[in-house]
Amino acid sequence: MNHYQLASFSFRSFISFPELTEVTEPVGDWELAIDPAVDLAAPTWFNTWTLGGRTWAEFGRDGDTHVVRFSKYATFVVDWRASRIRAAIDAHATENTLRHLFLDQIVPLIIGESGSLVLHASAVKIDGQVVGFVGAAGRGKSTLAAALVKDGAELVADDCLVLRKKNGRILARPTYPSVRLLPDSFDAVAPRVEARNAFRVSQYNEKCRVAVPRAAEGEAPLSHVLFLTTGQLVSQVVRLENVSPAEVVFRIMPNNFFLDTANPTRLAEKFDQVCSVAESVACFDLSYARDFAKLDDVVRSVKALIE
Amino acid sequence: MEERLVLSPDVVWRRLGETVILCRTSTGEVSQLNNTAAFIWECAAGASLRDLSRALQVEYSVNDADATEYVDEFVANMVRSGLMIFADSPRPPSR
Repeated sequence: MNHYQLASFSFRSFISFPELTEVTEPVGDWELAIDPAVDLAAPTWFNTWTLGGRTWAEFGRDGDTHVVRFSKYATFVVDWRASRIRAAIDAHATENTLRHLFLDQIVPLIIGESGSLVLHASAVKIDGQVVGFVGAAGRGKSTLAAALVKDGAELVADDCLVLRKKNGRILARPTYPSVRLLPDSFDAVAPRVEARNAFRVSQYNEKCRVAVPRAAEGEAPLSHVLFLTTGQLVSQVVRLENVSPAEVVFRIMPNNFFLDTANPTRLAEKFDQVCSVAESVACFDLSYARDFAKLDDVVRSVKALIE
Repeated sequence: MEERLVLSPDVVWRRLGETVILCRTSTGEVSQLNNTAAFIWECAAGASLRDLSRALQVEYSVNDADATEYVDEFVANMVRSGLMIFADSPRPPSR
């Protein structure tokens, strides 16, 4: 049995996760088990994620159990009463795909359902302050985080930024020390030379997982959120513009992970948490040229803003 | 007796700067009220249309006709959207 910890989520697993460092003292609150005969009963399906017009994931509930079914790859059954997650892998799905779906989808959803605010964002720590990057898939969140780490920042999160409010401040908790990069980003910002395909994230995309040399440890205050936009640049390489607190709520509400989107109590809790971020964190639109040759300018601008 | 307004229990809200942000907890839908609408929203729980019109006149120095027209239109929109409800008696505010 292997024991791991990601942010506030600890688990023991019958399968090994080379992406994570095993903890020496078993702390596993949750258990992950592969169960080909997982009993799906008849959950009430309440949410669907689509991608390119096709169903990508479906969400169901049956009493104290949530079911998440990723089309063609795997089904996870989250039993809250037993703190147990059972996974059934589809016939052609690979183990790295299963690990990716668990680490980058199921775990954030469970952490969000358990009370933390979990943003679909990358984040780094600079001079003791955390800056998060929110943006659509492919907009460069991981690339920018990796470039900042290469420049001396510490990685807080690649895709799953775990936040909580304490004494009026928003604190960010690190997840795990790697980023997922597309091949062109890999070539531009990988912290060290590695075979590009050494650690492919999953069978359904080209991203590879790259361990970073500097990862943050412990909580730190979230000082800035930067929304990566596609704004047009005329003469500048980088443009930063203030985003109002109200606009921040509109931007962040669809970008937070939690399981039970049909639960009004949970939605009210998330709204409150998102409003707290909007009230206490400086938020900006960050527009920059999508040109790896100019990434150093973007890094300098972000650091100047934080410092 | 004038009918009193109740904010829908389906809605949570927060003032952020000059606006109020509403979230419908049954759907997750988020909406925003401008400065004047936000003022009416914050006064609405337990108030009648007449109360709201008077409050608007004092706060924004507008005449009775303009205030009444604005309040009637705003409240009608809110009621139609299910964000406010008319009730027979005053109710406590939602927060």
